[in-house]
Formats: sequence, structure tokens, C-alpha cells
Amino acid sequence: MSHFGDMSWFAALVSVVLAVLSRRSALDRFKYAVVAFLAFLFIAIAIGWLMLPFSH
Amino acid sequence: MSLGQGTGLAETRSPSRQRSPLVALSFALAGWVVPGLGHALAGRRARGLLIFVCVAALVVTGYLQRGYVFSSHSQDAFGLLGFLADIGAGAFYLLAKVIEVGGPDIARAAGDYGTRFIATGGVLNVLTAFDAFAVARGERE
Repeated sequence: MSHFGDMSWFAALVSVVLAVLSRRSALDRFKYAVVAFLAFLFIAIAIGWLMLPFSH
Repeated sequence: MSLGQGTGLAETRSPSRQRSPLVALSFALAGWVVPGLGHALAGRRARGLLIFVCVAALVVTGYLQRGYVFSSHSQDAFGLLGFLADIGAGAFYLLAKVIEVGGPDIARAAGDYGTRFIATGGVLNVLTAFDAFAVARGERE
């Protein structure tokens, strides 16, 4: 699996569990899981770009 | 209409029943040993199944990526913390030697990621065990 694939898989699984634990209705869980998943990806990619200048 | 209706995954919305602390504790322990079992025993089968699938996927992915599984004999604080996180996966901790026959390989990035997958699965399972306790006590739906 690629690095991005690993990250996405990790983000999806963790988002689902956190949604199950923190929201009560199925619709709220679904929304929470989607937002958390996208937040995982966005923050990880943003941090990656921020670290780019220090990689050389 | 809620998600899951008509799919067989809709949870039974029976009123939360308040069980004794001892019973709730046994549900939490069951949920720790087998991820999701605590919720299933408390009548939240769909939630239990979802928890089992996610925790199992995290831990098994970690093993398949040859992540490092901490033992109880770790000499430093980080090793102890790693062990506590890993043992949080309950019965899946015991499967490490069965699935990860080649042993850990953290020289590769995948192995390093695997270590995090395993630890995260364990920590999330402990959180779900606490949730199972709260559900069994009637403090959460």
C-alpha cells in the first residue's frame, strides 16, 4: 500500500470508531465520520507541505 | 429514517437499561477481550460489529505491515506505554505471533506505520470498552 493509502485507511477506520463513540444517531455518526476523515487527510497533507522546506 | 434501517444493521432502540456496576464491568472486560462484544452484550449489536471490524482491521493491518508489537518485558517507559497500547486490543494481541510470523520490520516505513496501526487499534478498543461500561450502566444510549 502507498503512504497515502496507508494514511487514508488509518483515517477511515479511526474516524468511524470515533464517530460511533461520540455521536448517538446514525446520521450524526455518518456526518462526523466524513468530517473527521477529511480533516485527517487535510491536516496531514498541510503538515506535509509545511515540512517540505525542511526536507532539503 | 436512520441509516441502517432495512439493512439489518439498525440497532434495537430499546430504552437504555441500567445494569449493576458488576455486570457493566463484565461487559467492559468482555469488550476489551473481544472488541465490540461489550456493546453486543448490552444490546447494541450493530455498534459492536462496527467496532469489531474497525479495531480488527487496524490491528491486522498493523501485523500484516510487520509493525512492532511491544512485550511486557520492555525496559523503558516508551516500551511500557507501547505495551499498554498494544494489549488494549485484547485477544488480538495474542494473534500477533500467528499473523506476524516474520516478526517486526520497522526498518521500512510500512513497518513503522504498522506499529502505529496496532497501538491505535488497542487504544481505541480501550475507549470502546469504557463506552460499553457507560452503555451498560444506562449513562449513554
